[in-house]
This record gives sequence, C-alpha cells and structure tokens, in this order.
Amino acid sequence: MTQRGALIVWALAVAVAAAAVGLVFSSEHVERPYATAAFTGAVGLAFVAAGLVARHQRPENRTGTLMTVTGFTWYLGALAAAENAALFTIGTALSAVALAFFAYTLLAYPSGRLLTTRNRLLVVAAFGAALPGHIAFMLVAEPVDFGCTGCPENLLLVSADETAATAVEAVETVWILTLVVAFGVIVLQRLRVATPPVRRALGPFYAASFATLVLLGVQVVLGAISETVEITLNWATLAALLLVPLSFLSGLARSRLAHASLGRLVVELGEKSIDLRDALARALGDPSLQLAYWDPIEEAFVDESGRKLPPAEPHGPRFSTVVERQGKPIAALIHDVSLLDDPDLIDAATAAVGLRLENEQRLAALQRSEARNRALLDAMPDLMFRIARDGTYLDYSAETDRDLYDRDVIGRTVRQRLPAPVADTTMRAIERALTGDGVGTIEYTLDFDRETRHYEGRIVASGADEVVLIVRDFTSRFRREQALRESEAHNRALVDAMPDLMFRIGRDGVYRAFKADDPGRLMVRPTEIVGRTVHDLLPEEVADRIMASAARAFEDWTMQSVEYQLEVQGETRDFEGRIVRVDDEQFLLIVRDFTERKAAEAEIQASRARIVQAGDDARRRLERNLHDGAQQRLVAVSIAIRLAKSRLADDRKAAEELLTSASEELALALEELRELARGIHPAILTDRGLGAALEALAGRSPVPVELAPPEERLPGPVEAAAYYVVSEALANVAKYAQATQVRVSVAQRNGAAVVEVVDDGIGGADPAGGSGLRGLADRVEALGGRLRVESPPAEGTRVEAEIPVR
Amino acid sequence: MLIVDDHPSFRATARAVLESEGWDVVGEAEDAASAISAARFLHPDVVLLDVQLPDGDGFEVCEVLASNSSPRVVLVSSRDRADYGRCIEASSAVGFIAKAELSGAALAEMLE
Repeated sequence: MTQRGALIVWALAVAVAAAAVGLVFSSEHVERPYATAAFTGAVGLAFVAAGLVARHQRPENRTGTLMTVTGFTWYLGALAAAENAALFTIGTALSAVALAFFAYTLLAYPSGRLLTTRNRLLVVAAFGAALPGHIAFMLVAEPVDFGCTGCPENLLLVSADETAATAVEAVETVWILTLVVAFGVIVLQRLRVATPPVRRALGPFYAASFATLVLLGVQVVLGAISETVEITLNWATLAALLLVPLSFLSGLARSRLAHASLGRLVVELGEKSIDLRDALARALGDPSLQLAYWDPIEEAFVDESGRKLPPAEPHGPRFSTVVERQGKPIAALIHDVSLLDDPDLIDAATAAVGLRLENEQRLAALQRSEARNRALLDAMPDLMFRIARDGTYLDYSAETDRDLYDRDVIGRTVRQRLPAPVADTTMRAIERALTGDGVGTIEYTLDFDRETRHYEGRIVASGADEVVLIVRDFTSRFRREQALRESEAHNRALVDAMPDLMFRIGRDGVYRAFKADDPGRLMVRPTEIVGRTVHDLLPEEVADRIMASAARAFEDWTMQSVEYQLEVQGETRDFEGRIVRVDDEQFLLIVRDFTERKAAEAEIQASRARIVQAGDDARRRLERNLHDGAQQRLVAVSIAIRLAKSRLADDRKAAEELLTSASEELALALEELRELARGIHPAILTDRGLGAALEALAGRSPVPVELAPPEERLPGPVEAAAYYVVSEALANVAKYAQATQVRVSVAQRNGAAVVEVVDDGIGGADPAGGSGLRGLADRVEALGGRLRVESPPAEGTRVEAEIPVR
Repeated sequence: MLIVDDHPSFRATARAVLESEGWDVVGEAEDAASAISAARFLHPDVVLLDVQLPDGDGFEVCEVLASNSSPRVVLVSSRDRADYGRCIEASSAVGFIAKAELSGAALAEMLE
C-alpha cells in the first residue's frame, strides 16, 4: 500500500471512529457514554493504526492487514448503541466479530498466516462463537437478557424462552472458555520457546493478548454470576484489548531501537578494542550469536581459532547469514532464525561486520606496508638530501663523495647539479610531496665517467617547504636483472634453436618425458620410452657413459657431453648427447645427430689430405722432371764444353762437334724448362688472364678447340682453377677421347663461373677414377664449387665445373 | 771401368770424357739389376754409379757390390753431395763426384 493509500485508510478509520463516537453519545441506552465512547473510538483506531504501521514496515506480511481489519470490524459493534432497532440488532449480532478477527491475528502472528490445521480450526471456532453462537442466543433472548435495559427491540428474537436462552448461553460460555484456554496455552507456549530477540519483539503483544484472553475468560465465567462484576471486568477487558495494538507498536519500536543500537554498533566497531561478536550479540539481542570468518584457502567458514564450522542445518533454529564484500564471502553470522523476521536488522548487521572486517584488512595491509617502509628505512640509504621547495640543497649525507654525481652540493640547486630531465622529474616530485601526496618515488639514471648508474629516489616532505630525498643506487640490481633478462633471452634462443631430440630423465635413469621432432629417428616406438630406463633402451656401454656423465652433472651442475654411436634402423649414426641437470631429481639429455656433419668433416679432411698429397705429388713430379730432363741435359752440356775446351788445341774439329751437340742439348734443356714452368703455373694466366691462357692451351691442343673465353677477369684462384680444369680436360681429350673437336667455354652464371669442356669423343670416362680428375674436383670444391663429369659411352665427355665467384 | 746410369746421354758423355783421359771403359749399365750382373761378369776395377736408378738406388747397388770381389765404387749424381746427407759417408763407396764436375783427373785423384 502506498503512503497515500495508508492515509486514506487512516482518514476513513478516523471518520468511522467519529461516527461511532457520535452514535454512542446519541444513544439513550448506553450507560457511561464517555468511557464507552472513549474505548469504542480508541480500540478501533489503535488496531487500524498498528495495522497500517506494520503494513508499512513489512508490506509482504499480512499481520498489518489483519489488524486493520480487526480495527474496522470493531466499529460494527458500535452499531449496538443505535436507537434504531435494525441497526441495534445488526450491531449486537456482529459485536464479537472484531474479537474473532483479533483471535485470527493472534494465531497468525507473526507471519500473518495460519500455518497449521489446528490453528485454522481454532480460528473457525472463534468465528463460530462470534457469529452463529451469538445469533443463536439472540433468537431466544430479549435484550434485557444480555444486560441491556432500555434497548431497542431485538429483531432477531423468534420467541423469548428463558430456558433455551440459559442453555444457549451455557453452551457458548463453555465454547468461549475452551477457546480462551486454547489460545492462552498457545500464546504461553510461544513465549516459552521464543528466543530472546523474539521475546523482546513479540513479548508485549503476546502479554497484552494473553491478558485480554484471561480477562475475557474470567468475564465469561463471573458474568454469569454477578452483573456488577461483569461490567467491571468488561472495562478491564477493553483496556487490555486496547493494549494489544499498542504493545504491538511498542514491539515494532523496540525492533527499531535494535536498529538504532546497530547504528551504535557501527560506531563501536570503529574502535579496535571492541569485540566484534559481543557487540553484534548485544546489538542483535542474540547472545548465542556466532561469528564465522571465511578462510579463502580452506574455502570454508572457520571460527576465531581457525576451526572449521559446519554449515547451518536448512530448517534448524540457527541460520547463517553470509557477509560479502565485492561479491566474495568474508564472514558469516550464525544467529537465531527469528532474526530473519527483521531483514533490515540483518542487513545492517552484515554491513557493519563487512565494514569492520574490511577496515581490519585495510589496517593489516597498512601495517604491512608500514613494516615494508620501515624495513626500507632500516636498510637505508646510500644518499640523502634535504632540499628546499625551490630546489636548493640544504644538506646531504653520503657515505663517500664518490657516490655524488656532482660533489658540490649545498647551496646549489637541483637544476644546477643534475641533467635537465632528471632535474625536471625531481622538481615535480618535490612539488607533489609538498602538496601532500605522501611519499613520491622517482627513478632515473645518471651518466658517470665510466658507467651509467640507476637510481631510485624517495621524496618525503620534511617540513612545509622542504623535502628529504632518499636515494638508492640500484645499478647492480638493475644490471643483475638485465643480465637475468639477457640470459633468459639467451636461454630462450637456445631452446628455440633446439635440437631435434630431448629427453627428461630421472636421476634413476627412468625416462620421464621427451621431445622428438621426428619420431622416426627414435630407436624405439615413442610409446615405449617414458617409464623405461636408459639401460633398457640403449646399449650398455652407451647407457653407462650417459649415467656416469649425469652423475657428474648432478655433482657440480656442469654440462656434460657424451658422443656415441647407435644403430638406428639398420644404420650406424653418430650422436652427441649433452647432459644438463634440471633439479635434484632429473636431468635433460639433449641429443644431436651429427652423422652427416661427421661425414662432411671426414670428407673435408680427406679432401685436404688429397690437396696436400696432390701438392706433394706435383713437387715430386717436378723434381723428377727437372732431374731427368733439363738437369741431365745441362750436365751433359757442362761436360761437353769442358771436353771441347780440352780438345780445342789439338783436335779443333772434335771440339766444334762437341760444342754443336752442347748447343743442341742446351736448346732442348731450355724447352723442357719452359714446359715445366708452364706446368707449375702458367705465367700467361697471371699476366694476361684466363682468356689468353685458354687460347694458349687451345693452341697447343692436338684436337681442334672451339673456345668461348670469359668476358671479364675473375678472381685469381677462380681463374687458376678454371685453367687447370680446361688444361686437364684437354690433356684427357688428347690422350683418351679420340675426339675430332672440343668446345671450351667459361661464362658467369648466378654468381658462379661455369667452365665447360665438351668433346665428341668416345666417352666412357670414369669421373671417380684417375687422380687428375679427383685432384681437379678437390681444387674446385676447395673454392666451394662443384665438378661434374658426364661421359656416356659413345656420346662424348662433358666436364663442367661451377666455381662461386665470391 | 763400368758406367751405370739410366740416361744414355750421360753414359755417352762420361765414356767420351773418361776415355779421352786414358780410362778403359769396359761396359755400361742402365739400371741396378744390370749393373750388378755386369759387375759380376766384367769384374771392373771401378764402378761409376749413379745414385738414382729406375729400379733402386746406388747405395743399395753399392752394398751388393761390396759383399763380393768388390770393385771400387764412385757415386755420381746430377744432384749435389749435400742432398744425400750422411748417406755417402755411410756407404762402402770410395767417394762422390757431381756429374758436372766429372773428369778423369778428378776420378784418379779420388782413387789414389
């Protein structure tokens, strides 16, 4: 009901009350009109008022409505004061309806509903007594019989029969007494089982109701005996009845008082010394109240000593109300279930608890941060400056002057001493500290002679116009962090560049995990690795070495390296295993297959050996050639000249012959020397380039050569290699190919010199056979190039060398 | 005198030089094997022996010759004496003459 609705109902009630009072005063048969008018007006209005207040407070509760109805039906009884017989009869017949509604309200209280069949039957019985019971009496009794002298006529009277009236009255008396006793017992029972907060809230109402019932019962019993007693008791009953709505209102007010005490609670809770539970118990009027705290780790409510509390039973007498803060439970109140009748109270209490606990947490956080600050101060400081608002240094303390960026401090300003950006930051922080923003932190770097140093400065106001700047040099920490970052990056790079195969193995040799890019290269199926041991999977000798290396790695954290061979799918492969200790329990075995690399290394070594060998052979050949050729001829020339000289005097002719043959020998010796020198290194190649050298080769070749020389000069080693390829190939053509024509070309293609010698001979040359071709291949490969020989039988021979130019 | 050398031009020159100085050249041989058989067959007093032969070297031939009736051996070579280090002193040969310096007089001097 809206507030306006309530006002209308209230206005109506006042109007009805006024009418009733008017009726009483206009009546000629009502005795003691003032008292009657007062009670008639007051009781109804009191019920209506209590009903409206209750309804306003708890609109969902029907108690308020029932009380309002009780109040309005009360005025039906006032019609009995009318002088009009019809109105008098109606008023008299309905005079007890209000009492029946009161009975209804009483049993339905506090929920406003009749929850049990017994209660419903009792209410039906009450209405039975109030209406049919009363009407039955009126059928046989004159108004005088029910204590009304000078009253209008009873229109319901069929025939006045004193015997019947007495009988009906007796039945109704017993009926009403039974009801009164039943209601009384129920009320007493409710009072007995009520918890203190319930008793406090409902006690007055039940007490007044109980008094009304008792007086009513006594009135019914004694009224039959003495009329004076009955009249006196009637006033007492009326007074008690008037107390019912008033006590109801007082219960509500006490509940509001409890709210007020909650307000006090909030204030009290601000003081740390107050025990939260006691204060809550006091404020909520529930001495048995328990306070449970949320343990976020256990995810359960615990008491102050940390014991886990069982959740409240669903329909038990105790109820848990959870206190939440930002959607998370922080505590729970375990309280009497009746407190739920006043949700406002519970809300206020939980809010208060939440506030207090939050404050406590804030306080704890603050204490922690204080402790941190203190620790910081204790560990302090490398440098301290006292600086005025305008940036002038007032004082400083430094362990050594070496820590100072500029050793001239006092009297100078921040801007004079420090680089502009640092000075700006510092001045802004000083301003902030002085305007009351607490401790300001700045970070900055300064470039010293040899290094950049990193600082953290804390600025605290130490007066109205000065601050203390506490500086910590965290260069080394910064460097450590940087080194750590770098090493992490390095490690990441390492892991990224990681190898095909990694095993994580326990200290006991059991495989725990592995990573294999290509499971086909594992010795066993991937599913057969984890859980087995190194000795299960590897040959004993390899396993022993791995485990021995692992033992060393566990000993001193060093990285160990093991090289071994394994048969993998029928092929012997070379592996390098690196062993790194991960923690106390396991190590990593990082495996690289370097079979190909090893083969390549072996090939390079062999090629080097062949090049050396070829050089040796060439020198041996050269020496031999010199010895056998030119040298012999020169020896012969030398002897011949000496012989000629000795013959010159006596046998001139013989001397001439000797000199002639010596001259011929000398010419041959010269020719042989030239040939040899060309074999060592053709001078024309150095002087005139590959093109000219190839032309010379072509000119000497017995097989006609079609030459496509290179268009430009190439690097020396490339030209030499190309020259020897052509030279050797042409020599082979002359010796074996039986060719009629050779085509020689040297061209640059894709950054490489491509040398081709193609003949139209018989083919069938074996590229692998013959030291000449092998030596050429070595020479070309030493320059990063490639030599190919294609020589299908009867289709000529094609020698192609590709030599990178750069 | 037996001349052992694989170069016919040297053998001819040496024969001409030595005969002109009065030496009696009884034979020539072109390799180690024929040198040894010629020496057994001809019994020369002196063998002029080239160090470098196609089927072995002069030192070996020298050793074989020294075991029996032992002609006196003079080693010759177109190489220098120093090229053979201590091999010449260690051998049973009488001495060494570089080919370019060969003459009857030099030979006679060595054999005295």
